[in-house]
Amino acid sequence: MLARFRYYTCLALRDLIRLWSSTQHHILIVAGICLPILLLLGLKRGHVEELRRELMTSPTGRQIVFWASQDGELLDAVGLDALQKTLDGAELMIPDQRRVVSARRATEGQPLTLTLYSTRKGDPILGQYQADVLQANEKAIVLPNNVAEALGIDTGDTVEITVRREVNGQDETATIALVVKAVYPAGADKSDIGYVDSGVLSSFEQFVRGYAVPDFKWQAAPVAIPDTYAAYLYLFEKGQALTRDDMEYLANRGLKIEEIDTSQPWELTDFIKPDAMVRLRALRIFSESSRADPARRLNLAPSELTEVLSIPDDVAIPWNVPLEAKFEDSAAALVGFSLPRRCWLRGDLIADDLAFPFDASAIGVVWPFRASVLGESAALRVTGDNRFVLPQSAAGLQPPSNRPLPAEGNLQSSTHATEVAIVPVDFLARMTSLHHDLAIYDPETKLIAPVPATVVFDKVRLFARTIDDVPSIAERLYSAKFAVDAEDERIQEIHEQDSSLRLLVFVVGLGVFLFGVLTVISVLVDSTDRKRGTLGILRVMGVSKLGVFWIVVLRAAVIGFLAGCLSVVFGKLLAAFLEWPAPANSILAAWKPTVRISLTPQDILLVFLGALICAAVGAIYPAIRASRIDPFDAIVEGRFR
Amino acid sequence: MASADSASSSDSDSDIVLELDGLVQRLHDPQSGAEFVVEVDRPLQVRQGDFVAIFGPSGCGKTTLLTVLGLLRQPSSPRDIGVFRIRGSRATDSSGCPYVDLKEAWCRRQHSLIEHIRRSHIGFALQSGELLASLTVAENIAVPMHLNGVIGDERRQRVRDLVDAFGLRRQTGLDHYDLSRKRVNKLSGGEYQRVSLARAIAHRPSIVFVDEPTAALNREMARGALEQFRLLEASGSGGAATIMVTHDEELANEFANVIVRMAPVVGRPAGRITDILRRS
Repeated sequence: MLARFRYYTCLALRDLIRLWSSTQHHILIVAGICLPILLLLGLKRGHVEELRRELMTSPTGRQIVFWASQDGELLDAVGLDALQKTLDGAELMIPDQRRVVSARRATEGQPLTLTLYSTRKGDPILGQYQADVLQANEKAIVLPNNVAEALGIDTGDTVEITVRREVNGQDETATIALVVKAVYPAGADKSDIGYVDSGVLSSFEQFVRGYAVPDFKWQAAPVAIPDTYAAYLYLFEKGQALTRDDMEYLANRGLKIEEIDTSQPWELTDFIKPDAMVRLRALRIFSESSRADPARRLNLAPSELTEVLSIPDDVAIPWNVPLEAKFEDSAAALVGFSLPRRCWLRGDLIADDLAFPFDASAIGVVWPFRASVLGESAALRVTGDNRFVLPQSAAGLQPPSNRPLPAEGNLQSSTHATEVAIVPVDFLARMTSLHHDLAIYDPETKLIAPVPATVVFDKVRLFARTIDDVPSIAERLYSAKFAVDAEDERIQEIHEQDSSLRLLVFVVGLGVFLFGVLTVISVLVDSTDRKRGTLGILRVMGVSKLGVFWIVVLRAAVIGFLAGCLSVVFGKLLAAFLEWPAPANSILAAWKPTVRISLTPQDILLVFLGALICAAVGAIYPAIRASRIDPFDAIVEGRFR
Repeated sequence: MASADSASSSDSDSDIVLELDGLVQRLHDPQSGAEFVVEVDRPLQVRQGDFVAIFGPSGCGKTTLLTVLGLLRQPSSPRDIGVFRIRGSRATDSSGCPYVDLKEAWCRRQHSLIEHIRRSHIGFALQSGELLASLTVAENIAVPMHLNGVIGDERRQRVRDLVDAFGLRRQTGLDHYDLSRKRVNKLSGGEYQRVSLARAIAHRPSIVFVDEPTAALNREMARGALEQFRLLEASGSGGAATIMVTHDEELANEFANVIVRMAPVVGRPAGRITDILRRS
C-alpha cells in the first residue's frame, strides 16, 4: 500500500514536470493570488499600521489643553507632576507658556522677533520632526528652518536671546546664549516660533515678572515688595457712619467690622490725645483669618479702601503687629504708623508728626529720635527669636528728642518691648514680610523684594498616550474643575478613519482571498479535467479512488507550494523596492511612492500555508470528481478534451 | 477452452476465468436523453487461454460489453444479473472457491475488491493505446508491475523481456534500435500499440482486454502486434484469456477461437449477443 502511494507520488511529480508549461501557468495563477494577499498583509502591518499608529498617536489628536477655570487651581511644576500621576493614560504635560523675545546670531547679525514656546522632553509636536532633543533646563533651543535661515545659523550654532521686561515703567533686557539643538521644517505659514525647555522659559518668566534668575545671572528689578500687608485696618470716623453699600463692599471682600471700645486700652490708645479718643469712633476691619492669626495679611491697601468707601473724611490706618527690634543694645517695639500729610487725625495725635506720611521717601524711625536708615536697612536680618538686629552702623543715628514716649505694655504683640519705635507703615509691612519669609533682601538693589513666586501655569498642554485615553482624562480634568479643550471631533474623525482603514483592508483582503480561492479551484478543476484521460488510464490499471485523489491533491499541493515560494520571493523583492526611497533627483522619485511593507515570518508562513491549503482544498472537489468517474468514461472524455 | 453457448458440461468448470449471464446494461445519453440497452441473455464463459473476439457492427454495444466485463463500468442493475464471476486468487471464499462473485461485489459496492481485481487480474490494451505521456516506454510497461508490487530485478527483467518481445529494441549489426527510454509521445502508431499490448500483459493478468486494435492502426500493423501478443501469451505459463473487441471480421476469424457476434436489436435502441461460436 505504502509502496503504491509512493509510486503515485512519483507519477504525480513526473506528470508535473512533463507538463511544466502548464504547471508554470497554474503556479503563476496561484502566485498571482497569493502575492497580492502577502503584499496586503505587509501593507497592513507596515504602511497601514504605521498610518493607524500615527492617527492613534497623532499629537494633535491626543492633545488636551486645560486651564484653571473658576474653581480649578493654578498649577506650578510640582503640582503638574502630582496631577499627572493621578491621570491614567497621561503621557506628558507641558505648560503652555509663550514669550516674545528677540533673537540674533551670537555677537552679530540683525535681531529677529521670535515667539518662544515651552516644550519638554518627549514633546510629540517636536517628536514628529525628530526635534525632541531638549533636556530639562538645558540652555538650548529648537528653531524652525525659516528662522534658522533668516538668522544664518544651523544646528550646533549659538543664538543670542534677549528678553525684555518693564517694571514700574523701567525697561530692562537680559540676554542669554542658547545652543541650537535642532532645526525643524516650518509649516506653510512660516511662523517664527522657537521651542525652549519649560524650565528655561519659566526662568524667562521670572525675569519678566521682575525676579532675579541666579542661574542666568539675571538681576531682579529694583522694586520693593508692595505694602499691602496690613493685618488690620483701623478706621476712624469723623462724622458719617458707613453706608450699607460700604458694609456690603467690605463683606464682599470677606472683611468684618467691629467697633472699638475706646474707653479701654487698645493699640492706639497712647498715640491719640485722651480727649480726642472720647470723640472719635474707631472701627477695626479684619478678616476671620487675620483675627485668628495677626500675621495674616488682608492684602488690602488703605488707598484702595478710601477710594472705594463713600466717606471721604474717614481715615484708614493699616496696622501690623509690632515687631521687636534692637537698636544697638536697646530693644524696642517697631510700630508702623503712617497717615496722609494733611489728615485731620494728625491733630488728635499726641504729636502731629508722630505718624509718618504715606509718601515718605525714606525709611525712618520715630523713637524718641528720627533718622534716615534707608541704606542701613539692608543689613536687617531675622534672628531665631524673631528680632531684627540693626548693625553697628546704625549707631550713627540722631539722639532722641524730647517727645513723649508711649506708655509701656500697650502693644499686644510686643510684650517684651520696653520702648516703642515708630516706623512708616510700609517699612513695618516689609519687615513683617521679611519676618514671615514673604520677602527677601536683594543685595544688588538693596531692596526688600518679594520672594520669587513659583511660576504658575494658567494653561497646560497634556498629551495622552493614545487618542483613546483622551476622553477619560478630559473627564477627570473636568471633574477637577479645569476648563478643558480636547479634540473630540478630531478623535471621532480619527476613529472613523481608522475603522475605514480597517474595513478597507478587510474588504480588499476578503475579496482577494475569496476570488483567489475560487480562481484556484477553477484552475485546478480545469487542470484536473485536462488530466482526466491520464487519471482514467490509471483507474483502468487499478489505481484506487484514493490513489487518484492523492495524485490530484498532491499535484495541487506542489503547485501551491511552488506558488507560495514564488509569492514570498517576489513579495520580498517588491517590498524592498517599495521601501527603497528613490534618490530625490532621480526620475523614479517623481512617481515612486515609498511605502513601508512589513513582511513578518508569520505573514509569510500564513501565505505559504494559505497557498498550500488553498490549492489542496481547491483540489478536493476536482479530486473527488476525478476519483468518482468511471475509468472508461474518464478515458473517453479525456481523449476528446 | 469452451464457449459459453454450449455450456460445455463436458469441460471442467475449473478453467473458466470469467462468466457472465443475464446482463442488461443501460446507457444514457445525457445530451439527447436517449437510452441504449446492451443485453446479454445467454451465458458467456471465457476459459483459460481463450482468444475471444467480440464482433459486430458499429453501435451494437461491443465496447460497452467489454467495459462491463473488464470492470471499467458499473453494471446498471447488478442485482438483476444472472451470473457474473471472475477467477481471482485474492477473494476465495471459505469453501475454497477460487471465484469472485462480481455481481455481489457490485451490489455491495466493494470498490476496493473491484479495483484489486482490475489491478491484479485484468490487463487492458485500449483503442488508442492510452499510455501515460509523462513516462518512457519502459516505465509505461512497468506501471502495472509497480501497482502490483513487482519490484527490483524481476520487474526490470520482465520489462526487458517485453521490450524485446514486442520489437521495441533490437540490435542488427551496427544498427541499435531501442525505444525503451523513449517518451511515448515520440512513438509511431504501431510502436504505441505494441507498448500498450506489452503493458497489458506485463503483470501477468488472467484476462487481457483488447479494444479495437485496428482503430488507430492499419490492419497489417494491428495484425503484427496481435501476432506477437498471441505468440507471447502462448509461450507464457498457463496463458491468459484474451477478449478482443473488433469490427474487423477477418481479424476476428484469424485470431479468435471464440467468436461472439453482436447485433442491434430491431425496433429499439439496443444491441445483444446473437451468437457465440467456439472453434476448436
